[in-house]
Amino acid sequence: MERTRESHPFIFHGDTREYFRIWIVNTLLTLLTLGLYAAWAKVRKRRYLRGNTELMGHRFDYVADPRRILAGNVLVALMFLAYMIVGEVYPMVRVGALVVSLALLPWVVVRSLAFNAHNTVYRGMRFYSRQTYGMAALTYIGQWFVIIITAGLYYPAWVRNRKEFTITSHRLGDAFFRFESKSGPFYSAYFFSGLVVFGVVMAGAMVTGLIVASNSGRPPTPLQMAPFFILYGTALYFSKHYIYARLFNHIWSHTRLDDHSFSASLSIGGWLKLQLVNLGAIVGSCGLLYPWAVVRSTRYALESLRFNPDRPIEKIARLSRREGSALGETAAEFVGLDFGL
Amino acid sequence: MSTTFTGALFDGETLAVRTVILEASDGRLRSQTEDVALEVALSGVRTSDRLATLPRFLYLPDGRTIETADNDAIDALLAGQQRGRVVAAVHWLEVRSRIAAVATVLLVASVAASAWWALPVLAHQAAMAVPPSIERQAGQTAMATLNRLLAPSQLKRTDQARVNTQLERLLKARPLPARPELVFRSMGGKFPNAFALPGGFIVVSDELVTLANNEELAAVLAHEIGHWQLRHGLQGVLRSSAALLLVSTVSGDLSALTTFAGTIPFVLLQRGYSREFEEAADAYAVDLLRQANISVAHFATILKKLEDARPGSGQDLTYLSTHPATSDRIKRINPDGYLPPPISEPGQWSAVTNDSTRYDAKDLPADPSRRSVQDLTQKITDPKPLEQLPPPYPRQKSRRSGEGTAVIEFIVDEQGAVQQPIVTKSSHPDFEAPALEAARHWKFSPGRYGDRNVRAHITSTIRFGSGETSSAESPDMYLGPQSNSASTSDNAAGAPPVRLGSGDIRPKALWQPRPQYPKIMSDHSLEGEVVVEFIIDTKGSVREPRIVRSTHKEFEAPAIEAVMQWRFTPGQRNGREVATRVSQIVVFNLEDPPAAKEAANENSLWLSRPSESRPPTTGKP
Repeated sequence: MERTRESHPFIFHGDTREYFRIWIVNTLLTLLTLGLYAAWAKVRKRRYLRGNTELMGHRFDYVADPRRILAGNVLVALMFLAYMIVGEVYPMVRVGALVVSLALLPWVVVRSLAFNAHNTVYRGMRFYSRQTYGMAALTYIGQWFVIIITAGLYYPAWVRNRKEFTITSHRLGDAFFRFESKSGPFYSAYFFSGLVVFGVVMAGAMVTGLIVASNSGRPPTPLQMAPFFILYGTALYFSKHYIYARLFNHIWSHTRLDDHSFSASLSIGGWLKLQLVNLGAIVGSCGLLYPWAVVRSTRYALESLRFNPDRPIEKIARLSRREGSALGETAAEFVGLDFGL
Repeated sequence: MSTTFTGALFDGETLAVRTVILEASDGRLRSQTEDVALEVALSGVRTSDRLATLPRFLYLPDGRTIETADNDAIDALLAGQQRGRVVAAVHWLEVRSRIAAVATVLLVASVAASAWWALPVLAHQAAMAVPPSIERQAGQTAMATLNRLLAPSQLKRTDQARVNTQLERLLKARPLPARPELVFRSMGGKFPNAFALPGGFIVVSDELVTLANNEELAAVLAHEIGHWQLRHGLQGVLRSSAALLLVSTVSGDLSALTTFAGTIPFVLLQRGYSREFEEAADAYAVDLLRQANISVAHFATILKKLEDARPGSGQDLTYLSTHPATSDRIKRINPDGYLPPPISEPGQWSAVTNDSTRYDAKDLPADPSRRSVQDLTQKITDPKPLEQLPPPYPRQKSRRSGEGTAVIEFIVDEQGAVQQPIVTKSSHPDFEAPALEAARHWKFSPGRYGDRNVRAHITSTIRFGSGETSSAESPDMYLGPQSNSASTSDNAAGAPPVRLGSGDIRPKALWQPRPQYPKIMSDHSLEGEVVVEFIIDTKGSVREPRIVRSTHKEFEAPAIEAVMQWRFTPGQRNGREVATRVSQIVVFNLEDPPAAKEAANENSLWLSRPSESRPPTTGKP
């Protein structure tokens, strides 16, 4: 079999100003239509990000039907309002809702993945995501009990298992995604970020202790606590993005599409710097610069990612002739649940 | 007309790509490339919508797809087909910087408008539409949760009765559709606090009852009744749900809520709402207290007490706090900073007379056409006192039991408020400060000249007296005249202090229900007395009753409750009805009505019998 040594970059063509205009117009339309337009706005925004992503000379495409997403939005909004109002009067409803939503969670996960994948197209071929309800329940609920039993020590392994669940559910035509990773790197990412947060919390606690001591025993006022909370929030924000960058590199480098591989070299320092500027811009603009931050993050992450085909990808073919009209996809389309997992 | 463009053809079977040249003409799409067979009706071809400069996709009915960067060609093709008009309009909006600028302004404005205006209005209407039974159910639920967190009350029953009495006092002034339910709980000895739950549950902490006097308890209860009646609990729930939906609508999806930026506006909304609710409940309380004839100054004093009792007080970050800063609230409740005056001793009295009213020519609007004296006097209406309470007898003088007088002069401005009061004459400096302090809180109807309000200068004489020098008079009842309208005569100015004489008509009791004898006291055969100071207004109603002293705290609430119900004929001087400040002794005596005692009190203003509804004390000493 012919083997290639090529490596192809992901190229992102998105432009901050262009996306800002799209975002602001669509958000305003959403608001003016009392949320009904939200589904159309979401499709346009997502299509902008996917459509500007280029691999090997061709763009990705997002083809979701906004009417499906609207149905999903209406369903979720109704359930949420009912929960808030009825739950206030009959607290047992809250317990009931918790049980119901826990039971629904695996179904929502499977449906969201399927919907999202099914509507993503590359070179005229749809992605697919297929997982069983039982597997989702095991991953998303069953392993929670393990986390509780191990007092949280299992958490990084759970994150890894979730990624494996998500990645291995996908395929493009007859090419299947695989995830070849142990839990070790996940533990080390969480350990380092945990260490930093712990250090900051200890420092904050010591400062607070000093303030209390100089306060002649009275508890500190909110103003005196402010530096601690700001420090703590920033530490959490950085640890979140530190974990994201480390795992981004690790996960993509250990993801395979058949024998094709990916390589990611996201600079952790650069990523943290970028996210710091993003945070400042979003907070400073009361959220108006959110689209600006999205384009910058997407470009920075995508341009660190490369695709290394093992052999010509033109060989990837449709799995079966029937799959275009199979029942699973119709069901996936029935209600456009999409939680951006 | 035909359009030619280049594109990439995907067959839908594999990821293989063919570059093709396509031509659209006569409603059909054809391949111009030699070895690619493609010819379909354009009406059967779906196209992706125009979005920025993204390449377009043509979805052919046979499952094949064409990707092309030639947006203009596709748009021209669609224009011929009358398709995609709405999307074209959205695209038109998206590519213009000016539209984006306008949209930014509109977005900020509409988010702000819906957060600060539309959501509260909707939440308010929704909350008001909730049936009381559902509201009560919600309150019971919250109460059940709280019961697990709070310890049972350690208060004596008599202290609880004290709070109940104040609630009765408020309900008598303003009957409510349903009765609030008082719930007493201990909060670990640290938190003097009260809060209202939906359905009319008012939770009162032991610490608050210990901290507050009767009027202050009434003020706190009025505030909590406000929270309940305005349905702030339900509104809060509805608002936070709606705000959550608004934020998720704007930010795109529910997962955005968990991000840092997404939560900030949400938190801010919550803060702002809480402050607004507190202020609304304060306003409700002020209104209710006025209706119940309780000075709002007590509301201010309890807020100050609560502030002082709170740990770590002093540095209030108003923008981080759910409650507005106490100092702001006190200013809003009690703008002129009036504090309850010190209490007079029994037997002391004070009275106020308005002696003269005059006008400065410069204050009268010029009207040269009718500038005769006759016109002027006919067109002037003097200010009338609306609220003119005599000052309390000054503390410093009490031991010397002197009588005295203070003459003050002040301006009644166009709004009827007292401006620039000054003392023009006084028999002793100690009388000057209370006289001025009282005058600052008087209210008048403004003087009028024709159809306009004008400033008027009024001279008033305030007389102070102490009963201990006038044993011939009843020690319990003193009368101070207060004119009902501004006098234009000058005869009383500077007049010597007037002993209450035969020319004055004292208030007469019309209706004096007896105080309830507290059961716990009668059970233990305890007797006592309470000295109450109050004002009999020109209608003969009792206002601002206050405890001067008492032998037992347990007697205070029943004494106040009884005094509040008393009715008098107002006192009179020179044929005019006047407000009178008096102090009375209410005696709690377990023996049955001593006729002698009643006869001894020539005004029969006070009663000393235990309540007739008192259960028999058989079996107990």
